[in-house]
Amino acid sequence: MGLAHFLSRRFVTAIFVLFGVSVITFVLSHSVPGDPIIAWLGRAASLHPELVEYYRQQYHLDAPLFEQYAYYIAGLAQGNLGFSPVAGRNVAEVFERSVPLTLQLLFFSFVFTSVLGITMGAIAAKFANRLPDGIIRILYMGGTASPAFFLALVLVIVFAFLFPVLPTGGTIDPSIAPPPRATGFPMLDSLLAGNWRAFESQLSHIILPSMANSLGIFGIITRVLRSSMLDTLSSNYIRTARAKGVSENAVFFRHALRNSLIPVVTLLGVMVNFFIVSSIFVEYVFSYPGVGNFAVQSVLNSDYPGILSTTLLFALMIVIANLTADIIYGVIDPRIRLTGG
Amino acid sequence: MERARSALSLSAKYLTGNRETLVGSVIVVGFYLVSLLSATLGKAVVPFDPLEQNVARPFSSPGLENWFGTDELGRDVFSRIVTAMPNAALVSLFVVVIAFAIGGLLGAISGYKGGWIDEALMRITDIFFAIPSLILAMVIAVVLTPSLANMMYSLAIVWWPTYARLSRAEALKVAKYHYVESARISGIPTRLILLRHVFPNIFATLLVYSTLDIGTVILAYSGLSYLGLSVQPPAPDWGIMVSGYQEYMISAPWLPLFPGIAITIVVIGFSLLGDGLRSLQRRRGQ
Repeated sequence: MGLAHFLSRRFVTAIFVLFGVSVITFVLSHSVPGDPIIAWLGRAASLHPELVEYYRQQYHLDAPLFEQYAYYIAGLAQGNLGFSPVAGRNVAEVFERSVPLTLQLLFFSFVFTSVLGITMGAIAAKFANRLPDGIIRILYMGGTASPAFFLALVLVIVFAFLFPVLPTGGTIDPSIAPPPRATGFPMLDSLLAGNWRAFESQLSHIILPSMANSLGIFGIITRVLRSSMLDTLSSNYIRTARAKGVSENAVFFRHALRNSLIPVVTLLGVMVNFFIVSSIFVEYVFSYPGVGNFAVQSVLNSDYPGILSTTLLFALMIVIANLTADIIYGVIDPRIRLTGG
Repeated sequence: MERARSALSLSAKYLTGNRETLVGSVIVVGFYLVSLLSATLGKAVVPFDPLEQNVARPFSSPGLENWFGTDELGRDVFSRIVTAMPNAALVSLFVVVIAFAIGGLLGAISGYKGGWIDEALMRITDIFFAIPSLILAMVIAVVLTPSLANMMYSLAIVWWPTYARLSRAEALKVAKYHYVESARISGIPTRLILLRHVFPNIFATLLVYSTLDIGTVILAYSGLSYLGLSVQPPAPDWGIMVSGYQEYMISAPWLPLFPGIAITIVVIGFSLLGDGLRSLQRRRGQ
């Protein structure tokens, strides 16, 4: 199977999956108890019953479910995600601000996790079955076994109470004027505007939330890398390299570590999936105004345009991450394409 | 019978011989034992009534009388943590058993029969894998209105796809075994082949996985209850305790820490035991 065929197959599957997700979430969110119009209008609903009727027709809420779904998809194609009562704005407007924030958080979580996971994995392999290996195992088991909200909370207690060095809420120091909007990504905008003070403040605000995200998942990388390195280190070409006198450091880093990183690439999808769930809690604890926080608010307030859009957005992110991992993996290891998966 | 017993005693020897697995087994057995005692005997197993307020002693530090201290209403934190344990035990067991049954069955049929059934099932699991189960469960829990039972159902509904994939992969392997093929050729009905040959082979793999998975369910469950989607206060529950005590984390950090640590220890127990079982299974396979 050629690369083009492999990719197109993956692409079609991704489209199908997104369609399925939209059907599931649509049906589910339309079963949320409570009338959204009444919730939205509040007291006005009981004073002006004709308003309720007006909006019900306006938003096609009296139409059969499949017809509503068609309206929904048609709106989606035009970038209309509906109005969110809990935010008091259109979901698209909420996303305009919160999606870049969450993507920034995911980016830093990804960087922290990779650095932490790969370093720990390499150390654990180097000192396999000795003390450092044991300590690392305890560390990542503790992280993996803790709920995200708890990891976030421990970080807040440590860095707000024991060593007050990092801010534990928000995205930027309120006394610093945020940079002008250019790309939509606040940190990138600060860099582009050359505003170092703002960037520094944003960076210090994102460290703890992304660390909280990383602590729960770096263990998977460490574990996979450790065992793949131990496999590689006992393979023939490593023995050959040693035999021809390559230094131990070069063997370890250039030969073993580089090749052992291939299986780690497949973890990209798993990581994004984990970060999305974890961010919901982490954003909530750190009052970080991203999509995760909005998802929690929508769920707690039966805001169904909010629930529907966030779930769909999360699925889209996961599908893209899996697709990317497949493509990278298919390119660096052509054997994968043959199986067609 | 004799062989079964010796295999069992060998397994037991292996499991207790490995230090990590032993620790895991102790935690898991302790968790179920305390849950059972707490569920049947109630207040008799804890030093204080978990709901009883004591306005004279709010925020006492952990000590000899209140081992884990008291909360803002003077309630004993240790008693509350122990009383909440049966919830975690019940939810995790229920969700895993349902996922095991539904996923195991669907996966086995689809892997063994193949064809359009297989294709359809795999595409459905694709969709489920694109939505994080915790998020889907969260949405369903809201639809059903928050309570312990409804949260249990929501998790059970979304939890089976991993089991279906695992079971399918095993069934594909089993279908190629010579004795299964010869059973098929000799005209034994599919139903019987599934029952006698396919399920028993899949069972061990799923069992090992589900041991590890109970910990994951406990994490998801505590997350949902942290958001207020399960038991309603004042009933004690680990997730709710962490979120309720969060505001006192600076003045009384032990309040949110103890219930959080309880979750972590129990989850570690299941993953240690699960790892042990997995390497035992790998050895038996060789």
